[in-house]
Amino acid sequence: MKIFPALLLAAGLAAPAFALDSAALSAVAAKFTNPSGEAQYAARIELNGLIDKATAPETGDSAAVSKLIVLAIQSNDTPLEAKKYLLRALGRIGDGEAVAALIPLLSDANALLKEEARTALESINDPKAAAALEAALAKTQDKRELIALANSLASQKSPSSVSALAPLVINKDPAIAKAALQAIAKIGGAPATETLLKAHASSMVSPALKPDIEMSVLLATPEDAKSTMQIYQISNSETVKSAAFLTLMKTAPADAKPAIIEGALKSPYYNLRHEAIAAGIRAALPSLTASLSQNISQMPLEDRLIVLANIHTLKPTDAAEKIALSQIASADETERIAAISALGQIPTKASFAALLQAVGAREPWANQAASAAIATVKFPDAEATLLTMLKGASSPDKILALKAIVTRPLPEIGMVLINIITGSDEAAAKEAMKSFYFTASLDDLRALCAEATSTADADKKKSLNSIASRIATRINTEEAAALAKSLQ
Amino acid sequence: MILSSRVLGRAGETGPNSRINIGIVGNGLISDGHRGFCLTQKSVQLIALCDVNKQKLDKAMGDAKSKGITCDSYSDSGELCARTDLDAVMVTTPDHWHAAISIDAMRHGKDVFVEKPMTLTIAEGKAMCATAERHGRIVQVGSQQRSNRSFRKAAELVRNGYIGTVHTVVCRLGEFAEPTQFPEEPVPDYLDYDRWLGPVAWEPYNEQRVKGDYGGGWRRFWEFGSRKNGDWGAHHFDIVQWALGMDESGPELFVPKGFDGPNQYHTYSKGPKVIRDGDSKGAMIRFIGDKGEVLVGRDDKFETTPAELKGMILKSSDAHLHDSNDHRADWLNSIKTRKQPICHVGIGHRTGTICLLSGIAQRLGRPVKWDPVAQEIIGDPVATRMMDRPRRAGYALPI
Repeated sequence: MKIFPALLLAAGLAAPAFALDSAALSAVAAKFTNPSGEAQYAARIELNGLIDKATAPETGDSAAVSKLIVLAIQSNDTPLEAKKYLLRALGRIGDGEAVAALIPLLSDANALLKEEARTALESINDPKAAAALEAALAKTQDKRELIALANSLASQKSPSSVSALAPLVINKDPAIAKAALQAIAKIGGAPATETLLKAHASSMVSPALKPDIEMSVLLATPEDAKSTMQIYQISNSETVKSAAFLTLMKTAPADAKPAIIEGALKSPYYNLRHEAIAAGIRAALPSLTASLSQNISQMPLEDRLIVLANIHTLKPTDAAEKIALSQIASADETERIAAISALGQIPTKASFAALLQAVGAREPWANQAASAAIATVKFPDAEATLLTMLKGASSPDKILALKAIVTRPLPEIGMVLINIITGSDEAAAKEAMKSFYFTASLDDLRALCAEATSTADADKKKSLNSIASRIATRINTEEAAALAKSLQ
Repeated sequence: MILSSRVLGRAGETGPNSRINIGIVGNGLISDGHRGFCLTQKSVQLIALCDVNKQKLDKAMGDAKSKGITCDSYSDSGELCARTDLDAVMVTTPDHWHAAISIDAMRHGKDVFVEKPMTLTIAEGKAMCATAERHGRIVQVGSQQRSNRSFRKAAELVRNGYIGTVHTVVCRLGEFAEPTQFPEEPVPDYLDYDRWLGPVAWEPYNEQRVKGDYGGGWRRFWEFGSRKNGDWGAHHFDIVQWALGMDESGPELFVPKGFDGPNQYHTYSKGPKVIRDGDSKGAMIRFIGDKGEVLVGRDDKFETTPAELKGMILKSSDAHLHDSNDHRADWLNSIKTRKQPICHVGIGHRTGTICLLSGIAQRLGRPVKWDPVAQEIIGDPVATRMMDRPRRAGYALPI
C-alpha cells in the first residue's frame, strides 16, 4: 500500500519536486509585517503552499523543512505573526528533532507563542514530544495550563504519561481532575485502568467524580470484561451502567451474558432496560420470550416499541409472529406501525395475511406502512398468494391484492388486470384501474391498447381507452403517447 | 415540573409524559426550521435553548414564547446537556462545535440530531461513532436529501443497476469566495466570542468571520467548516454514497481542482469518478451509467434516460432503501423504537470523511489516497496529521 506515491508519480498525479530554502522562507515571513489583512492572508497561503509543496510524499523532505522552520522560529528577525503560522506548520510536518526548539516556548512570556508551541508538540508524533509535555505539566500550577497540557498528553497517548497525570486526579479543582481522567482514559491500557480503579477507591477523590472515573475505566480497557463488570456492578449512574452493559454484551463470556441480561431487564433505568430487551430478544432468552408471549400488553408502551423493533430477530419465528400479531390492532399509531413493520420482517403466511389486511385499513398511515412492508417481505409464497386472490371470486380479497401489487408488482400481470377492469365486479374494476395506472409498463400499455382496439363492447372500449390515456401520460415516452393517440 | 419521557408509564399504558423533551444548541439561520418543527409536533416538548449569541438566543426564546412555549435559556451547552429531564439535543451550531456538543449530549444519555457535515475532522467523526455505539444513542445527521422522494428514487434506480454500470457522477456544489483576513473589530457585548471560537485556534473577531450566511460568513473559512465540500458535499456526496451502496466504505482517491484538470474529483476502487461542478445538465446530481442517466435535484427535479425509468416500480427482489419523507420525524421515530434512522452516525461519518478528504487534498494542492477499510490516509504523513486538529486549551473533545 505504501507504493501509492510511486504509483501517483507514474500516473503523473504526484506533485513535482520542490526544495524550500531559508531565503525563500525569510522572504515570505517578512510579508507578515504588512499591516493589510489581505496581504497577511496572502502570506499565510504562500507560506503554507511552500511548505506543503516541499513536504509532498516521495518528492519532498519533511525533515529538512522542519529544520528550516525551527531556525525561523528561533530567529529574532521573524515577525511574531509569522511565527504563529510557522508553529502551526511545525505541528503538521515537524519531527522529534524539532521538539528541543519548542520546549523553551512552552514557558514563553507571550501567551500566543506558548499556546502554539503546545499545540505543535501535541501533533508531533514522537516520544520526545510527550516527554516535553510531561515535564511542562510537572512545572506548572496554572489551571488553564494544566488542563491544556493534559489534553495534549491525551492526544499523544504515551503510556508513560499515566503516572505524570495520576496526581491530578485528586486535584481539588474538578475541571483539572476531569481533564486528567479523560487523558488517562484516552491513553488507555492496563496501567491506566489500575490508576483509575485506585482513584475510584480513594477517599481523596470527590464522590461527584465517581461517574467520570467509572466511564474512564470503560474507555481505558474496553476489552477487559473483568474491569467492565466491576464498573457495571458498582456504578450508580444510568449512563455508565448502560455503557458498561453494552460493552459486556461484546466482551463477557457467552455463558455469563444471560444472567447479565436478566438482571438488566429488571432495572428501573430506561436506557439500560431497553438495551436488555433488545439483547434478550436477540439471544432468545427463554424467560423473556415466555414473558413477551404472555404479557406484552402489560408492558409500558415505551418497552413494547423496543420489543417490536427487535422482535424479527427472535427465534423461533412462530414466537416472533405471535408477539407482533398481538399488537397489530394497537390503538397507538406508532405501535401499530411498528407491529406492521415487524411483520414485514417475519416471512410467514400469517404475517403476510395480516399485512394484506392492513393494506386495506382505513387509516392511511397503516395502509402506507403495510404497503412498504409488503414491497419487501421475504414470504416465499407472496406472489402466488396475490395471484390466487386476483383470480379468485372474492371481491374483498381481490381488492386487497390489487392494493398490494402497487408496491409489489407481479410479472406479466397486465391481462389479469385488464380482465378485472372489464369484468362485472365494479369495485374490483375501480381498484384495478388504480393499480394498473401505477404499475403498467410499456408492454402492459401495448396489451391494453390491443385489447381496446379488438373489443366490440363500447363500454369496455371506453374504460380501456381512458386508462390507456392516463398510463401513457405517466410513462411519458413518445411511444406511449402514440399508442394512446391511436385509440382516439 | 417537566417529566422526562423516560419516567415509566403504568403497565400497559403510556408514560406520564410520552413526549420527547428536546433542547436546541445553536439558534442561527438553520435552526429556524428545526425550532419550528419542535414547536408544532405533538410528540415533542421543546424545553431548552442555548446560544453564545444573546441576540440569537433572545430571538429564539421570543419565537417559542409567541407559540405559548416557555423554554429555559443557556449560554453553556454543557449545562443544557447535563439536564436530566432532557431526552434529545439538536446541534445546529457552526461545524467546529458539532462533535464536542454531540458527544457531550450522548455521554449524558441524550439522542442527537446534528447538522451536516457531522464533524470538522475525521478524528471527530470516529469519536462520534465510538460514543454513539458505547452509549447506544440514536444520531441523525442533517443530510436531509435522503428523506426526499426524488433523491431516494434516484438512488434506488442506480443501486439496482437500472442505468447499468455507473462510470461518472457529477455533483454541483458551487464556490464560496476565497477566505481572507479581516481586520480586528471589537467583540459585541451580546457575544461570548471565546466560547464561539471554542476549540479553534484564536483569531481576532470580525463579524464577517462569525456571521451565519449561506453565501459565506463562517462557512467560508477552513477553521470553522470545510467550505463547499462540507456545505453541499454533505448533501450530494451523501446521496452518491447511498446510491452506490457505499455507506460503510468510501472512495479511494481524492484529486483537487487544478491538479489533473479543471475539476476536483474522487474515485471509488470499483466504481465511478465523482466530479465536482462538471456538466450536471442543470441537476444537482447527474449519475451517468452505460445504459442510461439519472438527473436529480431539489424541488422534485427528477429525470431519467430512458424516460420510462422515472415511473417504474421496484421489484420485490430489488434493494429498497430506507423510506422516509420527513428527516426530523424519522429521527423521532428512531428515538422511540431505537432503530437506526435514515442518516445515522456511521453514514454521517463516512459522508463527512469524503467532504473532509476533499478539503485536505484542496488545501495541500495534491491528491490524497485513502484506505476506506482501515480509514487511514496512505503514504502522506502530512495529510495524515490533518485528519485531526489541535484543540484550544479548555476545549478538548469530551469522552
